Amino acid sequence: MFALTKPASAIFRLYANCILQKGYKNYLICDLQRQQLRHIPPTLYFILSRYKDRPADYIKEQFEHQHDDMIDGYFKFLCDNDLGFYCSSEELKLFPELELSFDYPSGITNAVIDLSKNSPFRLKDAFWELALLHCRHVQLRFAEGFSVTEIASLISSTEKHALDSIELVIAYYPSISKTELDELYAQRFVSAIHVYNVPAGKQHALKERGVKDRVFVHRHNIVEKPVTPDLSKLKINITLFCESQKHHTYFNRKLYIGNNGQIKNAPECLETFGTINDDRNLSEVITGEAFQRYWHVRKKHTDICKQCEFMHLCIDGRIPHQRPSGEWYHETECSYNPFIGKWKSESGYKTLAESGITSNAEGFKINYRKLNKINNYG
Amino acid sequence: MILIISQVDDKTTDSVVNWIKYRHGNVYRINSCDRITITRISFEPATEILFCINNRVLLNTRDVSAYWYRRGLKEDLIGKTTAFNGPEQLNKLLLKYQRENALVLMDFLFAILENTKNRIGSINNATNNKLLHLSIAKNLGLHVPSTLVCRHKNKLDAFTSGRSIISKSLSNGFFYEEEEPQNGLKNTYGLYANEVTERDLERAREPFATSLFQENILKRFELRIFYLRGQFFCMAIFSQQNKRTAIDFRKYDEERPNRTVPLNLPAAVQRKLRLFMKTVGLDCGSIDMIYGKDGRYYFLEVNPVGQFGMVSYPCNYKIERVVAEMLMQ
Repeated sequence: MFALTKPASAIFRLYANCILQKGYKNYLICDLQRQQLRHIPPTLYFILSRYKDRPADYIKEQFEHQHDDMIDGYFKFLCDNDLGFYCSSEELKLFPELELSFDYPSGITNAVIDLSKNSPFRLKDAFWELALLHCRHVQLRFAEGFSVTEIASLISSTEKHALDSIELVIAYYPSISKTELDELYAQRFVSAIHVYNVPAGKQHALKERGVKDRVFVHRHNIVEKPVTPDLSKLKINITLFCESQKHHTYFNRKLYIGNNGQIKNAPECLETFGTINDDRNLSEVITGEAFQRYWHVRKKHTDICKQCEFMHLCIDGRIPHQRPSGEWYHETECSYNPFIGKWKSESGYKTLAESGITSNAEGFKINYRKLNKINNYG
Repeated sequence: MILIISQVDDKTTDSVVNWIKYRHGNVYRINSCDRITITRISFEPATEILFCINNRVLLNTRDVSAYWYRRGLKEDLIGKTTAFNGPEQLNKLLLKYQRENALVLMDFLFAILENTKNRIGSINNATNNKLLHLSIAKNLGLHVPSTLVCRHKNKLDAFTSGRSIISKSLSNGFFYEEEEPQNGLKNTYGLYANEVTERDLERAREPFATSLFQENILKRFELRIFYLRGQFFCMAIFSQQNKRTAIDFRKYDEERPNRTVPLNLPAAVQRKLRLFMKTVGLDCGSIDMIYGKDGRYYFLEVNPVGQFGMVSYPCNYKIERVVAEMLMQ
């Protein structure tokens, strides 16, 4: 590291994959490579954005040399934590920003299929249609009555359809065994198994396995009552960050087939676009503007999200609504309030309404008196 | 039809094939585990070869509109030889003769395939001679680290004279994965570039096996560049902060991996590299370089079949899409 002998003209640079993010209250560096977040003080955010590509000396001058130690301390912190490096002004042009465009070789990137004993379609027909859309990642949710053996046989045609990963959601039955679950999980393309409706006493026997194994047991029926995703498990990676710039990370290129064959954007949605047994094939359905309605909804055009520092790290499945003015909003709150910087589970958490924030069909408003009081801004 | 020669577990090829299929291209992939049999070669009106994959799929060179050699050896694609019953010496000669015949056919097949206008890579460039490349690079004005190949300690001593010296593999080296897991883990051992220490010298025989030594360049960062038909996709690897990876970034630290960021390669370096690749007859390859503390770019080596996914993803270059688009032109 050349920080110790750097000349005064040395310029500090964040690595291209360490990207500044700003929320209403908090400021972050998103380390997309190491998949970590670093909270930083507002002043450092200001320095890194306003004085990007300026030598340390110039920055100190802007503060009239009243805060030289603080500035040195900031840059030392960033170097020590390997978030950036020093270079000369000639070397600046060597280091471009990370290009953030998103593209993916599939018309549908992920699909959720519900299957019950009465489903009027065959799984292999659904797979065939998905293959035409180049979809390689599927979650299959089975209603009660399917044994592990049956499921294994149903998905055995997968190799032919070139699926990269299948997640299986299976209803518990008394004779289900850990061994057959292990065998199912061992198949190359099975990426995760969820067993639901598992009685409390049976959970341990099914679950006992290595920590890295993605086999999960659930007490409740997660198909009918989906577990609210734990958004605090943010996804920090280049692909999602890029997709989030211009697309809705949950709805973009997603397809849902219900157990009656009904086609939707996602399980939570009400609107259907025909059924899988219709004469039209799926590619016609998904290329329609109506089907793609939510695909291009950006968080930066959505109330609350656009002021959240986790904007590009989150996969939130709430259905967005649009006002005539074009801005988007949600009818319910998620589990993080960016205006006070707190998660639901944290002490001191307040809802948006309690914080003085209103976001609905009429518009968006902040009651600053209320909000500033909570944030101790005086 | 686009024809791709690769290996079954090559994820980069999977990605390129996905792009081609998504854009409705017609693609066929041959892996090293497949077996090619030449069915018929006709020379009139034009040369045309009918060849069979795994005794199941019949292809015609006439139908190949684009060709990409990604990885794999010609020798692996040859089918089984027939065993003979006879005197051992004669059997040996007959088996050798069979393979030679098969190679003549295979060589000709690839000569015709690689005559396709739209082609990337060549199966004849599967290996690279580091020494040849270093000397060509030097002649073309690229900086290369001070290099010595020798087998005597006194020569090595004279070369070292107080500098830090590393030893490198002359050929591509290998990775060895233990057959038996120890405590549930199978360790993998690889040949990495290493600093030559006093202890190494003490323990070495005299003379030692002829080895390659280079000056250990003090680096600001390393460069991993994927070159494709005149285009450069560059990545800088900051490995100096981490002692473990300071000499060979492949010996990476899982907990704190080196920083991998996009890099704009200066035009002057690009010009020399383009000339170098033309001189050694490569239209694609992974180039390793060092940007020294002295501000110079040092050429280390080029691998015609090197990985580029490790450059494509961290820098969001989408090289796999670029390859697919070139093949679909």
